[in-house]
Amino acid sequence: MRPFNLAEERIRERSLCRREINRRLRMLAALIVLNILVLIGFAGFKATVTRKATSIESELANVQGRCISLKRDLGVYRTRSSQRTWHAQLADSSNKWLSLMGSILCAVPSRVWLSRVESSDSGNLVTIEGKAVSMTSVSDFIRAIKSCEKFSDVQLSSTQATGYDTMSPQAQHDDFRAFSHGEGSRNRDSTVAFVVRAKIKLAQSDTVQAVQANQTVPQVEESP
Amino acid sequence: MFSLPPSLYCAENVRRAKYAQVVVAVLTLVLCGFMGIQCGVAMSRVSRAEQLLRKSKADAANLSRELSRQRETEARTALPSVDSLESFAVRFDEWARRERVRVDSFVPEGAPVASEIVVEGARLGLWSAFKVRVKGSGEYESVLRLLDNFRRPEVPAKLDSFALQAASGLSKTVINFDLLLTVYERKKSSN
Repeated sequence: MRPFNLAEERIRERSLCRREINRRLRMLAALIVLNILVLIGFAGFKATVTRKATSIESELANVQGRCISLKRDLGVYRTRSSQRTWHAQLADSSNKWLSLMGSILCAVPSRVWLSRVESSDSGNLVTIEGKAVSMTSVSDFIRAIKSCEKFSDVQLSSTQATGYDTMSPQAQHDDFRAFSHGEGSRNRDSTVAFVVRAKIKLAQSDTVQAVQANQTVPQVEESP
Repeated sequence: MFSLPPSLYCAENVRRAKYAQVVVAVLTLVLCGFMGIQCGVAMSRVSRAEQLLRKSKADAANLSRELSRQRETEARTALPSVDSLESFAVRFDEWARRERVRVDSFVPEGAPVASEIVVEGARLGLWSAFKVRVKGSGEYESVLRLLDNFRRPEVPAKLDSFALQAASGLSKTVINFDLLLTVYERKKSSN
């Protein structure tokens, strides 16, 4: 019988285990090293990204701060611009009256001169007083005003024949001498004093504006 | 490479080494996954911040352009400093003196009406509206030139009604005028 060495089997088994354990320990070590490298790499990457993010966020904060400041400045300028718009609306409101006055003055024919032009407080009526050398001249004047699209209703309120010679020199000056059309009539014997009332034509959008001229600004939204 | 006591090279330790290897491998996977997610989050944060920065820079550039436009407009048409009844009276007097028109009276009528002015959605604050009656006389052409000042948006005032009448006795072209104006005065904040 061949002798059996038990130690030999154990030695072989131990050698196998040793190889296996060493292999696994090497892999273990490699994994640990990999972990460490990943950690280091991640830490470096994260630091870089954080630095970049911080830099971008800081720049963003600056830009946003600038935006806020610009918006604030712009708000001030926009308010001023709105104020200019408001002033323009007020000027436009005044301009309606002034152009109305201009229309009346331009409509005065020769041989007619005015002594009084007045708008009513309610804002839709203009009263014109003056003198003319004849009723024909008064009629010409009324026709000229009627042809102006700014007036909706023009009516002769009264006329009175007056002897020009009876007027005192003082009274003769009670006219708008600027309407020099009337100058030529001075040598006439008589004149016709007249009063004309003209209603102002109101556009739909101007209704409130002209009628309530004594109230607050038209076209402007107001709250009490 | 590794030199352990011979007694440690046994099947039991092989199994333990195997478990340790599996645990470390799983740990590595978890760690790599975590890091990957963290990197993704950080990159996305940077990307978002960059996008926001680009947008903000574009906004700032637009605002800056609009502001410079507004400044140019402001420089061209500076807002007048008239924002009270007194300053309007001074301005009106300047106009009258320039046109050689005599102002006989400048009388506020009634109590002012305070209201908040809102134009195109912009709140201009509280303003008091004063009714003011102005009477005076002057050369016909001068009075018209004086009234022409109301055509320009220089003052917070508007012409409500007017009466022009030939003056007695004076020069041939002198007329009297009687104007009703609404003058706005900025209401000062009480606090």
